[in-house]
Amino acid sequence: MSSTEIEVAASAWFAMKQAEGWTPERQIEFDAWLKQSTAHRIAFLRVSEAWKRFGDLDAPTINRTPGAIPDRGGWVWCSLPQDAERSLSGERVDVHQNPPLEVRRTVAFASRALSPRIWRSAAAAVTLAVLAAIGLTFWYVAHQNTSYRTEVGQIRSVRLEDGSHVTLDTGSRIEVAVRADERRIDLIGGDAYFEVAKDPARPFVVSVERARVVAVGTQFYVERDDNGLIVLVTEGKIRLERPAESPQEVSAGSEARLDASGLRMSHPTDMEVEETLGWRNGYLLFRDTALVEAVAKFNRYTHKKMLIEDPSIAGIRIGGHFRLDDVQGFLWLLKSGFPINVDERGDRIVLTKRSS
Amino acid sequence: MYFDRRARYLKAVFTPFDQWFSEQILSHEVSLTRYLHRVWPNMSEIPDLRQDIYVRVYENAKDSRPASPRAFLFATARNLLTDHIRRSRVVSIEATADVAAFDALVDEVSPERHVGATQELQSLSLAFDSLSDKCRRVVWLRRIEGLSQRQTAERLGLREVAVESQLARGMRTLARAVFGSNDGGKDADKSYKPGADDDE
Repeated sequence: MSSTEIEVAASAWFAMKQAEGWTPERQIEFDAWLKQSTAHRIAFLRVSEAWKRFGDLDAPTINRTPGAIPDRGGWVWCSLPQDAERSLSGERVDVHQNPPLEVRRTVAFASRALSPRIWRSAAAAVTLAVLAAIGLTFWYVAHQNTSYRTEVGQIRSVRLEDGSHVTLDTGSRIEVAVRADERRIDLIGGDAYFEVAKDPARPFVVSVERARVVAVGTQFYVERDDNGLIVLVTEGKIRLERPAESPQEVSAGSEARLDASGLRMSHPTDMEVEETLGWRNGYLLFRDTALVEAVAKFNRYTHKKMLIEDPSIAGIRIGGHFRLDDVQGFLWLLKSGFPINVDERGDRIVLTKRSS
Repeated sequence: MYFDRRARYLKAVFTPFDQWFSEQILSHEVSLTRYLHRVWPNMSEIPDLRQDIYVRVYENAKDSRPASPRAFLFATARNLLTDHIRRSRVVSIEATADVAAFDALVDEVSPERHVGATQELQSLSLAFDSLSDKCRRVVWLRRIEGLSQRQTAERLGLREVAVESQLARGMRTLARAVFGSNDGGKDADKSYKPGADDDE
């Protein structure tokens, strides 16, 4: 019996078992079916587990009234064929006509009203970035180091000579100096994920400007941007050192953000961790993210940049799961799920509000 | 209450080992499937291979649970693939090399074990939306609203047996979404076509 046939049988048993008409006779039949093969048992386990987890879908439906089944638009759902032209024409493609694997998928949760607050805080962030850029002097003394870099859209994993692994995100650069007493990485730009080989005698130090992230054997992520840096620890702990400040320990599950205003610690949820680290699996994840932020993230991976020409759409909240190279999918979603026009003009993609 | 009864049924079916298997083995299905896609040239064989791997893990782990379930799962996968290659002799050399190089691959395949909640909800919602209208209603009322089969049938004006069959077909699609293995879907989908049965 093929696994598909077993899957069909297991689902049928499952549905039958959920119903009122379940009898002792059926139970005996069912027990016999389960005993017949381990594959049956496992298939039934799978369906039951899926049933359990499907209950979670209660959460992301917004403004749901009890008793009502969410519209397909409760999540804006679209599937894209490889052919970008066809997808841009906005044609809806039935997922079952194409094997699901060959279909790139996108989800967006319901949009909310535009918030002027978001726009104001974006403006504040830009101001802060400019100030920080002026305030921070570029600190870097060239050693005889090994340098690794990634181009736009590239993600690269490097094994260092001490056995540690570094995964560089798009447009990033590090300088590596492995010495007898210290393993030193300078993060010159961008962001990277570090999996540090244990070596208590040689601390592993990631430097961003004058801040140092010191680890012995652990896994963590460091992002350098115009404002400062973000450190997210996924395993073990690190020590964050800054000049004239006492060192701060950051342990697994915690995130430290350092910018002009100081150091802030937080404990991101699993979902937030995934948003930060999704790129390592080739995905960008957004959850209730302002369009302006999502566009900025995407633009890091592509040469053809998206530009929001109309401030009134910058605050639209989107959610979704996109392949890094699937800008077309992202654009298709914007066009079909939101009042947004997409205009490809030369080397730019201009986003404007669509008047309806 | 309806739900209490259901809970009792499930308890009667599942042993603590089943529970362990769901949590520690089935939860790696996304990584496992990705690994199989990487190393196995024939995509249509993957659901069957995966099933064989699960059966082997289940039977070998029953008496003494491995300390590292994930490593055990992938070691089992490698052994099984190696056996298949030996037997079939038609698999390309690349496949052989990739299977052997699996240690490097496992790290690469899934760096995060603990994340995935958003992804899971999203693929669930996608799968849910891919169901026919009738099937969507049935699954939603049964699972989220907690209606019984009879209540669901009344609410939707369907016969109970229709509710049951819709639930079965919906769960099949959702199981594939939950475990991220949207591969074997092709064969399963040939036997039914969501949407085709939408007679309302």
